[in-house]
Amino acid sequence: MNAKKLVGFMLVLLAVTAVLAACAPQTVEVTRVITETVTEQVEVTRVVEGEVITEVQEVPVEVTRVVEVAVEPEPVAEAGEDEVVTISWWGTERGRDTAETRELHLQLARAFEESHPNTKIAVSLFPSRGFSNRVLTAIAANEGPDIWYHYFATDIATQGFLEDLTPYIEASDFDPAERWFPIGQQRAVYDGRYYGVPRDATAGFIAYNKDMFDAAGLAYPEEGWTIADYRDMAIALTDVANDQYGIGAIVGTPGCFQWSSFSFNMGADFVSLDGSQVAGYMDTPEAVAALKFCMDLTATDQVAAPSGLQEQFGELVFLSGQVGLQHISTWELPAINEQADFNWGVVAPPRYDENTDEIAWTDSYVYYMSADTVQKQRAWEFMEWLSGPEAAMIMAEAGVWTPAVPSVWEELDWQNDPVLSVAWNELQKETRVSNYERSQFYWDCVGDIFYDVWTNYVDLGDTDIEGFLATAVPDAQSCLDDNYASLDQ
Amino acid sequence: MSVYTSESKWHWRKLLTTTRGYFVLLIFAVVFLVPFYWMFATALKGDEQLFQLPPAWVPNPLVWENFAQVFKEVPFGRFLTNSVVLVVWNVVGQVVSCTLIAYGFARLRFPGRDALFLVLLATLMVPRQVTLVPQFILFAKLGWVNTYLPLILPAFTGSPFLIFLMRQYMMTIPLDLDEAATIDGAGRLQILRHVIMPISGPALVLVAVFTFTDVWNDFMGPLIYLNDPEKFTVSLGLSFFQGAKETSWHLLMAGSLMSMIPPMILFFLAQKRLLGGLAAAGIKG
Repeated sequence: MNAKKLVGFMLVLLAVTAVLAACAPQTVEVTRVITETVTEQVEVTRVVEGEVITEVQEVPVEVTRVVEVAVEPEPVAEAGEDEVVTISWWGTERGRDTAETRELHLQLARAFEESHPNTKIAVSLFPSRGFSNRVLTAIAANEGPDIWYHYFATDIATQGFLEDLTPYIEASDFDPAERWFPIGQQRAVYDGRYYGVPRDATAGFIAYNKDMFDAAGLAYPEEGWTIADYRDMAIALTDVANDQYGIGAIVGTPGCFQWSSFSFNMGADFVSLDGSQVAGYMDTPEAVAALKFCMDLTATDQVAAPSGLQEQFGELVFLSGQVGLQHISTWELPAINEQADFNWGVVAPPRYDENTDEIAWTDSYVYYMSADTVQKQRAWEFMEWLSGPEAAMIMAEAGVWTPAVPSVWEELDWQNDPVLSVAWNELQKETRVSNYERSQFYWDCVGDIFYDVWTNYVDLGDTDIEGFLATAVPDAQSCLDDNYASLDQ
Repeated sequence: MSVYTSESKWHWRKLLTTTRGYFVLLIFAVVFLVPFYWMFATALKGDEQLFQLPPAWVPNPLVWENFAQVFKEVPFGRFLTNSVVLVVWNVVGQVVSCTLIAYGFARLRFPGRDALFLVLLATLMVPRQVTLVPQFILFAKLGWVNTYLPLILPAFTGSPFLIFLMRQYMMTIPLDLDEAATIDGAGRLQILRHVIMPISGPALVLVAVFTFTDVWNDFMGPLIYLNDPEKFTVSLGLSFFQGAKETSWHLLMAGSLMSMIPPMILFFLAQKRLLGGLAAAGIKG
């Protein structure tokens, strides 16, 4: 063998060894003193009827030895009640009032530490952009936080990195149905088990510009109005020549199908509740009608603000003062409260018709606990506190989120507030987890359909929605099936 | 008279051609400057002007306080300092390592050199996302998470693209210079230090500038490896103004403008050598 081949062979051998070593279970060599019983053969002499008999017998003997053994590292035990433990808590900034948001997190941590002196909370806040990557990378390396909040689809629980909180909740002295709004429970539950607790609770509703309604001589919308009323008002308020539009967007350009209460109220559900099916949901006549209604507002009625402004400002395009109706949620309320320089009001989303009950669009961020967390009990104590009334009151007073605890809303009399009472009513109604939060593969398999159908219908003028969906939906279903099958392997 | 007329025609034709050229360039300049102007204008707008329809091209009043507000909302000065520290270490690391490695590929003859160079180039095809988790696990096991080490140390192992650039440049330097230095008794490292590096100025500037912009704009690296906000960089700091549902556009633009100042100063200082380096590395290779 020449030198080149020898070097090549050695390199390959080195690589294989490295791979095998990396794949081997992690063990540590420890020195142990062991005592074991071994069988030794002993000569026994005895006298039988005057005759001396010597025979070999096997007898057990205890032997003590010092040995090197390989053992798997023992899991770190949970700390005792008197030990000081640090729990890492990760979250995101919200894009505005960053100093206040950061102060709220620190305030919550300090308040908990005061009542639980042996638990320290290490707060880390990240930009919301890229937060998923940050969390998932850290978890993959077993370096994840103990607790964090995020916006995962409910079926992310199947990935196995979330702690099942059901036993903790069952052992607690509160009833989730009483403590949280319905959405707070729905967002945290998968397959009947709790994998999180709610951080907040928000609801979708319509903000309207009173000044524009007054100038147009229109009556303000009222609870019980229908989507036909909504459309009529949008048309009446639109005056493109004066940069005045009936709606900003239902919520974003293609988002109107995914977020809003409209599709729910029109009987459309684009994805099954367990997130696994799109065929038989997105291609139903109700779904097609909901898509058509939404797109016609732009394509036919031309009552929506230019798409560039929608993309740039999203829901906050309402702040221009030249948009009559806008679907918003409590997440946007602080900005509108602070910045709107016109008279405005809010009303529940329109229902399909007078005889159909409303289904509310509500939502919540969720606190999760890592399955790898060592100090689970301490982490749970913090989670339980965070999702309880004391923390909820601190959040409410800070004005950053609207809490998921109804008793705090009542304590603050928010159910009688002219704006928040609308959200309060929505949060009591029948609700569902949003389509895009039902499947962890939604954005990989389903989300793009809405962009494509929008491009076809609005930009290219192809009105055959059924024809488009006849191809797109089976493709999306196949994508979902493949992804779920890969989870089972 | 006819000479005068001819000269006059020539003069006017030249003027017209030049004017036409300037006009086209002006259009392109405006196209490129409009986003920059919009950024500047947004940075000087108040809340109430951000969502104005039709959009206001000239802010009125000018809200200079936005720049100060950036420092109140986040520790922006700290972020700038952190970015500068990272940039300096990375530039040093890349310049040293890329020069040494490129010199090896350009000048030394050893078995498997070309194959090794191909492997190096092949790593350019591996997306960063693929190596993200394994690399994180490696650094986590070393206990380097929430330190600057994972963001600095890799620079001392070179970057495939920059090594490629340096190698291409070095290959344009005549071997005669090496041979003359060898006759004078210089060793390999002496040749690199006293012969190759002084000539490779434009390429070294290129490596430094590319590294500067990469590190200055890097979002994912600091996001993944740093937990403590006190250690965050400018690119992370700016993202704090951009939420999932709400964005402080005026503060984002004010912060972005301030974060552009160091790269712009660097660009103007290194402009001549940078363009020379680009041309040399791109054409002569």
